[in-house]
Amino acid sequence: MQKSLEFRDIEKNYPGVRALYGINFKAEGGRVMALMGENGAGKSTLLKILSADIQPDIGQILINGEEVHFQSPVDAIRGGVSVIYQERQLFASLSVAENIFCGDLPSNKLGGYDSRQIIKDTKELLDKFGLDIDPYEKVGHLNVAHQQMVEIMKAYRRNTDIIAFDEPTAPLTEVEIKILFGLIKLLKEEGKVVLYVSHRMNEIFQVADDIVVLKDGGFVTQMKTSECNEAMLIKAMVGRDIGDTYSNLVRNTNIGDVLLEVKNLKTLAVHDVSFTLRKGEILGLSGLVGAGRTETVRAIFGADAILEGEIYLEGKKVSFKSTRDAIDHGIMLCPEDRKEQGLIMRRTIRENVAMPSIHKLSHWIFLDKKQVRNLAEEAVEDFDIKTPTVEKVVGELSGGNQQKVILGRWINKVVDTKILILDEPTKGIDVGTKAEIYKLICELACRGISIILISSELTEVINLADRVLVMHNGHITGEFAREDATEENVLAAAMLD
Amino acid sequence: MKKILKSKNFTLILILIVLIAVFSFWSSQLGKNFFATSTIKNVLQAIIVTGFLTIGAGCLLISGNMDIAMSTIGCLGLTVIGNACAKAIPGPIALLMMIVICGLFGLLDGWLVSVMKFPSFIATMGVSFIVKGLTYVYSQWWNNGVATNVNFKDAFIQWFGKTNLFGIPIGAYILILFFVIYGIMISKTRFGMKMLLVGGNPQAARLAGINATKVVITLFVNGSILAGISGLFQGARLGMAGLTALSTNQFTGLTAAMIGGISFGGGIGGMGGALIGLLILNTFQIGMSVVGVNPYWVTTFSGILLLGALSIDFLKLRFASTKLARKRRKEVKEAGKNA
Amino acid sequence: MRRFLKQMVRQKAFPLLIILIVMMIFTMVYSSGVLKGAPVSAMFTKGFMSRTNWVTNFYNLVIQIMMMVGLSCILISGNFDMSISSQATLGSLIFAIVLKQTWSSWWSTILITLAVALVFGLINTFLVNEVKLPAFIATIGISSVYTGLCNVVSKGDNVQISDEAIVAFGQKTFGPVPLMFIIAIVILIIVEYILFKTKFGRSLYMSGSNPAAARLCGLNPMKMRTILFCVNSTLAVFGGVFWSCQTKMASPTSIISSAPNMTATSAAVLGGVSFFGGTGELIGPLIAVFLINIFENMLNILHVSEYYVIILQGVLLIVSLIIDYFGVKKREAANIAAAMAK
Repeated sequence: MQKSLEFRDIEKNYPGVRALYGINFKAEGGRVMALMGENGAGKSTLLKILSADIQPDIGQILINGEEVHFQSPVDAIRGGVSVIYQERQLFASLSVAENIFCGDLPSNKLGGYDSRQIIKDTKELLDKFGLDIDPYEKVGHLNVAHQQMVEIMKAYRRNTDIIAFDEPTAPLTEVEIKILFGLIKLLKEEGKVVLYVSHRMNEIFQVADDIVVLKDGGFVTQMKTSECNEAMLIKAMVGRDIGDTYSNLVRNTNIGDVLLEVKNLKTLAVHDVSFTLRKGEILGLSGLVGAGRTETVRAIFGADAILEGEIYLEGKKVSFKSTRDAIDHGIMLCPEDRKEQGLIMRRTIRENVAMPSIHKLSHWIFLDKKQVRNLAEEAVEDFDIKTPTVEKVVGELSGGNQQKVILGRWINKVVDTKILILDEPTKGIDVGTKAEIYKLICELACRGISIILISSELTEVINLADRVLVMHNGHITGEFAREDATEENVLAAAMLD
Repeated sequence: MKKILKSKNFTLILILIVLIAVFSFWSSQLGKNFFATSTIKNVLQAIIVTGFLTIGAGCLLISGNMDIAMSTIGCLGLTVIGNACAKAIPGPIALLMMIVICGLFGLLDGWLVSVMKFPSFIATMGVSFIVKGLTYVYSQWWNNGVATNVNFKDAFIQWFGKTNLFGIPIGAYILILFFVIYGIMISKTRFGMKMLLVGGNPQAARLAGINATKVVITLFVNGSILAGISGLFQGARLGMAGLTALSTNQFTGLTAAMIGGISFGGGIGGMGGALIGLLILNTFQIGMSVVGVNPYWVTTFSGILLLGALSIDFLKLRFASTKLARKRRKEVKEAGKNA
Repeated sequence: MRRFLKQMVRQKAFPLLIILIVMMIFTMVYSSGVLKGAPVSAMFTKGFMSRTNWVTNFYNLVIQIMMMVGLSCILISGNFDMSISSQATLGSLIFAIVLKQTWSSWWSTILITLAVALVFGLINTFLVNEVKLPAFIATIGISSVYTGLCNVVSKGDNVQISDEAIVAFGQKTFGPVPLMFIIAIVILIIVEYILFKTKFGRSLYMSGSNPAAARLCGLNPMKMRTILFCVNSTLAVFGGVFWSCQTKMASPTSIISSAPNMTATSAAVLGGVSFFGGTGELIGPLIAVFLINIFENMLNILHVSEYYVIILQGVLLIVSLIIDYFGVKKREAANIAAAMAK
């Protein structure tokens, strides 16, 4: 019986954001279907729906022609779906064998179990694929590549009809990648449905039979690998009608001298980054998730330790021991995770806006409450934050307004911002507020404030930035001036191996 | 007017009044006088001692921490003072010694929690054992190898315990003064603002340039010195430094602060609430003993109160987030309809 | 077998074993007076190695081991129970009081005490599963309630135990080894077996090391907690009961003041059980608990003030926390480094 997986009219919405809509396609058994698209296209969301981690708002999933409704991930596994995510779901202190057979440990009547059976089975499995891993070894002691292979073995052992891989080769070396591809071939021969999500072009062309491209939550096209090439794929992934969003923006034509210079920056996650930033310039920092962009800016902001490298501000060497240092020198950061790192959700707009400026807003040791209130009220007005009062608890605001509160914290009369670092500022924000933020970014640049903009949305970066840097794996892999930056070549640089 | 009626403190005062009414009625039915001078005197003494602990615990609670070692540090403080005075060291110097020693342990607590990032309960529990042992060792040191309760006479120290102003012990005035000062500190100074921010989200506070470590360590040192002051008042009246002083007060400060509405990491309560919480707690305990309830049931009820206060605190937080989640889900449905 | 030995050597507790042996030898030599000219054979009979000394040690170890076993299981599965001390005290008081009643016999008392222990466990489960309090906070809170109840039930006094069978049980020794110690060790071995050789035991590790993944494997954390808290309470309560059997009285303060729970916790963490859950077993903590006791014994023999011992307990707890913390940090750093090396 031919196995198949079909998505019908899948739709998923979040407040203000359409994560997925109109997803319709079918994957056949015995073939590998690749799922491609840039960050935010909806691939992870779709996989989460498949594994029943989240439920779709509308739409059905059909497995082998029959509609299925999984209530929970455990349900999905029992129903024949295995998804191998990027974050490993392993038990560090248990053995390889126990991890592979977790959930199905053989037990006798007393509840006892004999590890010898699963050790034997594990050994057979590992030998079948030529993996040099000791089944007794505790998973926590394995290197990352082997851990990933254990994760893959775990899914294989379940023998589900549907098996999906999300960026499986990220932690693997050549040896294991070969083994993985051998395993995928075996799955095909067994008639299973294989979904393969990856950004690595060469892998897609090696292993996939069909390709589905998603863009901005929607289905773009489905092609046979044999009938397409890299250029066609990239074109399908990007290339959107941006309409008026960017055409009305007023650019800063008066870009000044070099303000910030970063040389050979090295931290735990950043390998060797060097770049310059000019006064009034908008510098886009593009790349895939995990490229090291956030880590780079955190190091500049003084939030993470710098192992090697130098930073020069206005020609003078600086070394920030803390975020306070960086802030006092005029460098500000809007963190990637608004809720956990940017705001204090339980506190009011007034308090969140005042956070970095407490000393400036006080006389001696006393807080000047009136000044604080004014600052917040000005922020509400300047940024058009939708709230009846500054006493509103920030947690009750929408994502867009929350982001504006953070902006209001750094851009006001009291704070002297020279460099504003925005890390994914429009993530999860509705279209209207996004446009407001774009307008704001350009205004700030015109005022002489330099901006480092990290964004996974290619259109955003290309249309706002004066210059685009692309990072991959902790290095800078590309630099484009606005005129030269196209979504194609930026994405290509981001995927550069 | 409506705002005052709706405020948490008003509810608390109401509870206090009800408690007093209930106990005075109950005790009069039993032929006892709730308002007898001896009762009032005992209540005041208890309030003074636990009051300073409450202030310290309340501040720490606002910043998202707790210090179990406070009562043992307070006992150590009293031991330091008692032994010093017994050996004719002048009072003010003894007081200074206490402040330094208590402060040092506050520093240790703060370091363990803020720099080493240990969970505050366990780290301070460990420290409390160290301090308890050290109290005995210290006593041995000053008393020829014998750890013992010490009686002392020192005009300066005992002034704190013996003086009455208009019939009310001076300690009460000092306590009220402290409550007022700390209340002002929390609501009006920049340090107070930092406390609230660090308690609300230490990560976000750090990324906004606030030195969370400094704030937390300061609060632990503050709590320990206040505990020492608490110990001072415990022993000053009778001139006795007992080795088990304050041992029943391990969680009293925390309970009082929580009843007063201060919750882990901020919340709506302030020092005012903590004061009323303190009054409620002490009235409850003394009321029970006047009425003749088995004193051991009283400690049990205090335990139930603590558990209740903790539960309500956590339920409050969870309720707030579920309310928010429900709101979010509604928004999503709207967005889905409009998209 | 070879593999087992290899793993044992790798355990965190192996250096502890070495330290333990060294300390024992040192104390043996010092306390027997051999250095002052006593015959070498005295090393094995006098001072540290004297029968009375060992009997005392063993009796102290009983409640510590019982608590440690329960606590280790709780910690491995990612939970906490900070109330074992007050549970042990209250349980032993109830035991002693029921025993005194004319209608009770020693076995019916044991059954009743068991029921009480189960109630304690269920209360903890209720607070965590239903009220959804974090286990930490819930057990801190309930601990003060139990402490209060201890006072109520005992009226501040010790409760004497005079039942012949129980007293005999409390005093029964085989050579220097008390019967209750043997029972404690047997329990330890049984639990160790459960941890390693049963599905349930492995599920504790899964739940502790990666709760999300555990749920994906179909494990039910709430059911696990029910079993765990009840077992833990039983072990703590009977640890307290054994203690009172030996001292012939149940005291509202003696358990809390000698703080076997501190020793048990420190021993568990030193022996490899992490506060963060997911790792550990019982042999390491067993060695650690011996170590702690022998160390205190050594200090006693060296005439170091008993109060330093209290300080020691606090220091030990903090030290074991630091070691645990660094263990976790090292693992995290290793993971990041490994990911980066790619």
